[in-house]
Amino acid sequence: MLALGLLLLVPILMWSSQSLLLYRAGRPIQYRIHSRDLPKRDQQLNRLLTNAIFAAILLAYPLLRGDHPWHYYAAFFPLPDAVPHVLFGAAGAILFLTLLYLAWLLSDQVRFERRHPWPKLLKRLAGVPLTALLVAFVEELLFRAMLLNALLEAWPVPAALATGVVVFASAHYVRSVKRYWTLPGHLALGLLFCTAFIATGNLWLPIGLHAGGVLILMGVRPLIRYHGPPWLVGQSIFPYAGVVGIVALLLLTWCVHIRFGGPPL
Amino acid sequence: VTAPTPQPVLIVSATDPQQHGALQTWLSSQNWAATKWIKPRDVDELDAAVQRGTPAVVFTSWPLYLDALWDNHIHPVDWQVPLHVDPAGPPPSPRDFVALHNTWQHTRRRIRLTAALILSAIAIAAATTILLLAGI
Repeated sequence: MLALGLLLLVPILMWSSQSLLLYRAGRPIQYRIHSRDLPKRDQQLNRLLTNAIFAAILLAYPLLRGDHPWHYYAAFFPLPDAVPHVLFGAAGAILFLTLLYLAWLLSDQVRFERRHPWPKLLKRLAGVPLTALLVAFVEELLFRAMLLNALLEAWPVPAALATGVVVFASAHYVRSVKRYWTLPGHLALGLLFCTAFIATGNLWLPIGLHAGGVLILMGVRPLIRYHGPPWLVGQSIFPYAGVVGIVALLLLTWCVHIRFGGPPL
Repeated sequence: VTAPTPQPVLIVSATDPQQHGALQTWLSSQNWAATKWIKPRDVDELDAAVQRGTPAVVFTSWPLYLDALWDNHIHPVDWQVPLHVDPAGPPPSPRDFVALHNTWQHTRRRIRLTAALILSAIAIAAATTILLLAGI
């Protein structure tokens, strides 16, 4: 499977670029992928290289299939669906997350407070909308337009859906991370985005859902402290990884399936 | 053979403790020369700093200490080192604590209300968008 093979190349290339930068800086090679041991200037370069790897993989996939990249990806962006699907997705994700935060606020599971000086806070918040769009755009191209579409071409819907969900969730743990208990939350998130893609056949709805979610999660992050148990309310940018968050994600997935239909699962 | 560097006393203060004359005099009287300034916004790192080792923790004012305690940022019952609050100042009266608690509650209620209003406004806007798109 070409798409899966290319996606599996991503961590290998990320590790290779990290190792090259560590070698150049005279530091020992690390087994795990994380940029903490790199000098500050090389961390920026490492981020740039990671994005270049994503871009190269995205371009390589249609070319290896014999398609023109523009024609291949443009098929996932039908213009008539753009506004209603993006708006519905973003509004759905924002509604569910704000209700979740409201519930935690009123039950004193989270407290809102400014965690950084004003200039740093405003700088962070100003960058959130663009980050949300970029994260949603790149991840949806990789995991839905490239991977899930290839899986759907080769396998029955349930098998493609399950594999798409597991690969998407696992990809969030390729780098060294602080928390691994968030995996069920990422699986539920993957189920939402994959269902949205299968239901509509395009990327507008998953991009709307993804960008709306990242917008709220990153916008709230510098203003919130969690006091409740992580298994219930989540933590940091993972309120959807607590039990209630996972139930909310499954409900949103069901809403998407009811609203947009799609092939039977 | 050189003597090991003494671990610093952790001082939680809104302003630089070096500029705090009475506090410096008190620290000298305790023979504590090395100090580390913890700003109030970093107070949630205090538990970990105490675990790493320190001869004592000093808060330069009662509101700083009580805010950190009531906001659940610090857990002094777990500390095995002396804790001093405004050691250079006059001791507070029981009524002062009532006033401090009222102020803390008022501030937290205001923040909570503001957060709830903003979140509700966003949720209403999102819900309206969905209803409009559904043609209702």
